[in-house]
Amino acid sequence: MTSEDEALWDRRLHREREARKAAEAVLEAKSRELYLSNEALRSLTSRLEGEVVERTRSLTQANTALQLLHTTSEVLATAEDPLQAAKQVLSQACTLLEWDGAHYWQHHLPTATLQCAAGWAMNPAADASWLAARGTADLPAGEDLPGRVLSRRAAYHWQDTANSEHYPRLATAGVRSAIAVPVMAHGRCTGVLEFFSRYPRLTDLSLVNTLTEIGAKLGLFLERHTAAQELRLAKEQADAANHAKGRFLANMSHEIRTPMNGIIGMTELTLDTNLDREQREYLDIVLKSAEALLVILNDILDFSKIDAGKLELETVAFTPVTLAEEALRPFQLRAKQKGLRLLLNTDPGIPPLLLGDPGRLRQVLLNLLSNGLKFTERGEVRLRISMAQATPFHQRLQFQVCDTGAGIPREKLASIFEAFQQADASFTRLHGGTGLGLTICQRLVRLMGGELTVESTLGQGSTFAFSVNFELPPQISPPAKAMAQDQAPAEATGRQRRMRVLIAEDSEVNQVLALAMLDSLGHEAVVAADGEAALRALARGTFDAVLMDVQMPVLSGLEATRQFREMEAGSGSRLPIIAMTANAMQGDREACLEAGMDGYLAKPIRRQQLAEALDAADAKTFPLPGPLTTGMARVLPSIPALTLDTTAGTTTGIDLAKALAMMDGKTRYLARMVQGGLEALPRGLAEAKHHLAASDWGALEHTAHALKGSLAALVAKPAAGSARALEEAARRNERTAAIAALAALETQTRALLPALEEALRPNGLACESQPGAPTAPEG
Amino acid sequence: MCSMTILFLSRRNSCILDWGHCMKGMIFTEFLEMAESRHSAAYVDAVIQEAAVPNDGAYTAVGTYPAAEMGCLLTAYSRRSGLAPSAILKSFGEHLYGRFREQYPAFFSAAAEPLAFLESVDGYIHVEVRKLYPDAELPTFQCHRPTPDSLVMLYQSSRGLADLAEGLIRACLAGAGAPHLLEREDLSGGNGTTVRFTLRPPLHD
Repeated sequence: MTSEDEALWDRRLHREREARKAAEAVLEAKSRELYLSNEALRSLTSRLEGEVVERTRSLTQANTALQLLHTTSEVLATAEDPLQAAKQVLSQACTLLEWDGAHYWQHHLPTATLQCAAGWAMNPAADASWLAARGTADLPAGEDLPGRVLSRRAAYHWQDTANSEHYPRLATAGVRSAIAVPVMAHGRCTGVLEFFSRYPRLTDLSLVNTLTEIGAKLGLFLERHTAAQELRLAKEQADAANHAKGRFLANMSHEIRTPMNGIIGMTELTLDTNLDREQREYLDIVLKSAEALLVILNDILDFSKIDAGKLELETVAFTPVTLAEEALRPFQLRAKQKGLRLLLNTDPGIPPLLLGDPGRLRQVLLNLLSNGLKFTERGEVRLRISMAQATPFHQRLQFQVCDTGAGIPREKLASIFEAFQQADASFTRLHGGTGLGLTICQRLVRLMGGELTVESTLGQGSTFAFSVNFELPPQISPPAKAMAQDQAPAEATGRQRRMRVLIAEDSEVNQVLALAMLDSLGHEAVVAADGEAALRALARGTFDAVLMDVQMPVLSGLEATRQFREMEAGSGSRLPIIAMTANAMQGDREACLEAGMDGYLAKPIRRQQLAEALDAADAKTFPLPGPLTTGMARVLPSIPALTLDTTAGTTTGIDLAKALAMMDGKTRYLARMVQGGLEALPRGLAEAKHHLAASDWGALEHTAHALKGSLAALVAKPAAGSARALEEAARRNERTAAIAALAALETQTRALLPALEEALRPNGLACESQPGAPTAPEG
Repeated sequence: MCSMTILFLSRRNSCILDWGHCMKGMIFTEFLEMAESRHSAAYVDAVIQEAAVPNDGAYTAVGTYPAAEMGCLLTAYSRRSGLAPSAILKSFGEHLYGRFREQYPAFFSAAAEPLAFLESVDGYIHVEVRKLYPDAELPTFQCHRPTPDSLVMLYQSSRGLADLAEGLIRACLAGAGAPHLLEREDLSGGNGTTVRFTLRPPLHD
């Protein structure tokens, strides 16, 4: 190797070494650079991590706040009791925000202090001190933490590091930090929410805001609750007042109706006497006015009952066509006087018997027909009944009342059925009435499941129409059979025996009515005018049943019943007591049964119901089954106060003096009975002949039984004996014996009819005795 | 050839020489290796000595050096070999292309067809280069195809290394066995800073 080569290689080696050093320096620098970048990156990462943690924390906090607001809203939406609601809000807030306990302070306005109304602690056992921290004393504004919040109306955050001397209550309880917010409603501070922690907690603006919002929510809830409660109270008071008013109305209507019946009865009686033309005219006006007043009373009573939802419909069998004829009958005279045709169109397919409330149906028809006649001067008023849909169990009937009268203006058609909405007040003044008639009709029809509609053309007439579903009576599809059933009254059971019934009733009219009905049913009756008299009568005599009026002077029917049941206790027997009341209010029946009564009859009493009730009493099948109808607002028949000659007929097999004694000397009741006999006896004889000819033994037996009862009541012993013979013959289906008995009965009865008439003659001897004395028989 | 752009880097504020530009050390090491492989170690030693570069030719591929030093080496090599600097640069471009293929095969696998590869240099490969060398100062190649089988590339660079680019292009075409003809037109008055290369298929009879 030359030196030249050596120098070359030296240079080459030097270059390579230098290059290596340069490369190492570069790598060193690069690695340092890398390290620094890495450090920078790490610091960035940790800063970002911190940021993420902080962001997460604030997001969690926001989420918790939202959740708290949400649950608070939920709690308050369903809460009923304000304190319970406050307590729930406290527990939700503490649980979600991790505070150890809380109090709800109420702002008591009269004393202007805060009173602790509710408390909550995370751990009630361990945290008794939290709950104790409320103290017993009320806090005035400005004092302690809640008082400070009350006076500032703003949230306050406290830590034990500051102003501890002002908050001994908290410091003693071991509270390290607390936060209190006002319960606000419409700018008023109605309370304070106070939260405690056993650890120091930094002031957190968003937390304060959240709790402030909770306070506002609670405040609004409490205010709404108070308002709702006031509203509820006001409504309850209004309801109670309305209820009392309805009851008062019903009672007053009833109270007014009784004297009205007296007025009508006495007027009718006076009209039967000798009067001059002027007097008669005046009395006619009195009578018509009284009758009009009764109609109004009935309307008001009906309306208040329907309005209160207290009107119940009957479901009894009735014959639609007969009902329609009866509905038209009262208008025939008026139609004739006005020169109008009064027509009835019925579909021949209408079933002979349907189940429904014939009384209410009649009421609707009477009202519509009366209107039709009132507003029609020429032409006709027509009642049309046609078949609508029918199913195996139902029959829908369409009723139409068409007139050719004045018609109704279009603008009045819409409001014609609305209560107190009579478009023209002058209408009422002109035509009288309450103006409630059509409203009542509409509501009755609706109760029956229909809708009353009207079509009218001015000057041509109006048509009122409705259709109602009626049930078909079960198992009575062949019309012939249905008719037969219709004609056979349900009381014809043959089981009935003569009963001795005590009537406890203060109203004389009702006494007579009950007497007459019992008489016609073949029962014996004694009258007591009040509860005490009834108890005396029961103590002295033996009875099979009592008809007990509920509203009586001295001692009410309910109380009399209670006392009698006590007297009776231990005797082993139970006397059936049937309530009679005109009170149409619900709950009466329950009151009667509770007092110890067995049955319930609504006034006015109907013969059939009375018969059924007494049958049940006889068979001891009380309490009476089936729906009981409330009393129908119906005009009682007027009962003239008759006088009687009890000496009449003593030679013709009748002893009215004895009959009078049986009625405790009450001539007027006997007179009514005599009058009833005058009507019932000839009718009974005719019926008996008819039944005998038809060989209808059941009906004959029943008629004979009724005749027997009537005759026995009049102490017509021979005739009563013949009636008994007829009854026996009918029961055994012995034609010959029946013919003989009927012949004897007819002869004897015909003979005593003149005597009865004689006894009733106006100038006959009136020997009414001891009007004020107890009316029960002695002994 | 795109890859060549990797080599011309700028280091702002770190340059102390006149150009103000630096070059990647790999260019220097490759240049000297090419010279040594064509001549000898003594030859290269002589070139280095003649060029009188400050570090006496102790270059490392990971280092970065002033671009002017490359100018000194090129001048020295040209004088000694009698070759024109442009010829040396073209030949150096061809050498570099082979080295790039060896060292960065991933860049070359994406497009096998040479025109498509060349076309993708500006849009794709430069992006890849920047990922590796964010501060690389790259030339631009605006490309368009007048016909489907020809390509026009507009080279623009302040360095005026169009010759190096031509060498790389030629190596690319040769490596793919493409028969295209390469035309070169300097649009910067011989500065080699704006040069249009046109690649077209051979003419047919």
